[in-house]
Amino acid sequence: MQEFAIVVENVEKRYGSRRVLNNVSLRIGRGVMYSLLGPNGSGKTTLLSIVVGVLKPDGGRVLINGRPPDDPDTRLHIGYCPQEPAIYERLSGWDNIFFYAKLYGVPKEDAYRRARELAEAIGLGEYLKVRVGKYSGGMMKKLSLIVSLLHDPDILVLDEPTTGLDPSSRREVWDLLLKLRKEGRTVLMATHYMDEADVLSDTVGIMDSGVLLAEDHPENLKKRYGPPAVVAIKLADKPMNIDIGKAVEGLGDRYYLDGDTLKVYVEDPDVVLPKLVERLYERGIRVDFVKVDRPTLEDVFHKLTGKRLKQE
Amino acid sequence: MRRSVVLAYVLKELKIMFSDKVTVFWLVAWPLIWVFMTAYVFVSPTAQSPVQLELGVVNYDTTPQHNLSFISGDFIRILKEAEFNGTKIFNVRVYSSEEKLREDLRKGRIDAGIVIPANFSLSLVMGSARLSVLIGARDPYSSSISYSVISSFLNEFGRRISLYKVETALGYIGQYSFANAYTPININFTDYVKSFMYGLAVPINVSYENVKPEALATRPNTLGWYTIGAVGMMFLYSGFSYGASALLSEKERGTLRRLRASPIKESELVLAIILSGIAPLVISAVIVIVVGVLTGANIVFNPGNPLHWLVPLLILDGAFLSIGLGILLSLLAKTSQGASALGTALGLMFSFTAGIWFPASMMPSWLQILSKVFSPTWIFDAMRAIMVFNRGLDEVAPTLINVALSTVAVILADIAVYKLRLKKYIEEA
Repeated sequence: MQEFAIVVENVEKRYGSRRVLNNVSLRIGRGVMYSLLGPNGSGKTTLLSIVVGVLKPDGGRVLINGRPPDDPDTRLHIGYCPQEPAIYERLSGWDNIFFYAKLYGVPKEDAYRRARELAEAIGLGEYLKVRVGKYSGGMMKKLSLIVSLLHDPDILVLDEPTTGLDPSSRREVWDLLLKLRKEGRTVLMATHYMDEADVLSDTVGIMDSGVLLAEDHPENLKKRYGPPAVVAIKLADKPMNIDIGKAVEGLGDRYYLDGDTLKVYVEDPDVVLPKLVERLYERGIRVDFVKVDRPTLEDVFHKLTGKRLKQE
Repeated sequence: MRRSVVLAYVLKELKIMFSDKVTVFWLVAWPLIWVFMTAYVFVSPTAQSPVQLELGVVNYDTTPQHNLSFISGDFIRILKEAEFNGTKIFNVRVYSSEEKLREDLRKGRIDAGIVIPANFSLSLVMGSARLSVLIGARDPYSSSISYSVISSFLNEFGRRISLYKVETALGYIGQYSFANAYTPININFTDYVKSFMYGLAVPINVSYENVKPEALATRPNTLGWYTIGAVGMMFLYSGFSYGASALLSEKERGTLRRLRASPIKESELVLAIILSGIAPLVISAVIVIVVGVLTGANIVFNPGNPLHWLVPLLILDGAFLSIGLGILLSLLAKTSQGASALGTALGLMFSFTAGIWFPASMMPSWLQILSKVFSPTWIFDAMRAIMVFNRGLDEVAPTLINVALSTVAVILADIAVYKLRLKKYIEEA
């Protein structure tokens, strides 16, 4: 058996003159949950499309269980859930399930049993009889996930599986993904939700502009690229014509305004915090509350790209 | 009233309206297509030029040729050479017997026939000559066209003969005294003059007879002809439209990406898409034929005749070809709605050139060329040949070979188009 479930080596992809993937390499071991974190347009979907064999790379190669991904036998090992629901709205949930089960050679009884289990787990059980056109966006997403798991694949490739879901549905999907990882399945997931990547992943790859900037366990990434602490100060009024840079000067590595919250990366929050609040008061800026956060993957992304993921 | 606000709203609406290609199609493209068809198909610029008729001629005239100023051979030569605006009016086939001529008329192989009786030349010179014209019908429209063309030709021919005879008579008056005048046969000179004078008024006494093919002679059989046309119309409209939009619909649903990630092969996907379009077309064809029969159409299907078992295959292949050609149209479309509208519009245009509503021979010559190279036309012609004209395998075989070759060509082209489109669509998605 191959050591790595998914191997991506020096993959390049261009759409016309635009380079969308630039020499991307990654190796994902068996039973690992790997999240690609990056903004829209960073190349995540293109990379996943190449991994599942839907697109061919212009350079480099991809191996799934040691074989090319466009091999029909290899495809039987991959469960792919595209970004859009990718189901037929004029058919019922069951019709969609049985159609895709047929494509993967899954007997109807097995498809029924497995779909029923999965649907119960993510709260879709009673709706499978209903025509998909009557589903909400979240329900479609759940059905799409069920369809990608019908053939019991050992590798899952999920493109933003929780986008558009309400918080409770997201939690149900997370629980399912954690259960699948426990069962030893390899999961490659694209997301732009930091918390999702943080909570679920063994490894997070940070992507931007077609480049894989860094990859590691989320905690290691935060240690390596994040500041020791982030001071978050919620301002009573959004500052107008105030030079925040002057107020922060000499106290933190970098700062940014997230709405009406000023976030400053600091080495020693106990020392810096009082001085920072004082400087803000001196400039007539009132503070509602302050807190000291641990760095997040957002901070890692900011450090690596100079951009904020949320704004994308 | 704030004019700028109203104007801004109108501009916004126009932008939205014209950003929808389907709206643009129905607003602009479709009326243009209709005007184009009216100008070049229904009221063709070449409409004044005659259609060329397939004309059979039997010559029973055994009149000795000497001493006669006109012989039946000249009449046949004139038929062969008659032109209007540089186009030959008749494509003349000479038959050895009236039976053979009538047989071909009945089978719809020729449009009309002329039977030249014995002593035609003598009668024409002496007085009035009889001529039998047999009007056939290769399709429900052609008999009236054939009648119109032949009667016009014979009227003009008669007028010229009259003039010629008058000039000849005037020549006799100048050269001979009546007492010594020559008569071609031994009759009284007065009788000869009488006959000759009648002949000046009516040089040719034409009798017309309709010899329609059995299949078109009755209402049920004419309905059968149109029923097959209705099957063809449905194939072209729906087949083109489905073929052009199928893959784009998968792309727009987002299902194309998932399908391509599944173990399904490209060739399987192409075949699956075509077959899923064929099924409703074939079901619809069966319904059209059944309803046609219920409304009185005579559709001949003889299970004992192996050739008739080709008809179901032709229906399948007709559906296959129209969807296959529709797939080629997808190269020209960007959205499934646009593709569907394009398929419907081209299906409508091709329904005229494919001889679904009226024979392709009524089209301008450049459209007839299109008709001859358009493979669904061959299928509809073959279906009519078998079920309407009751023709044999020897006559249908060349068409069937062409149909088979074009089907293979379309399959190969479809697979190539799909590979091209799949890559593009997935990159665009």
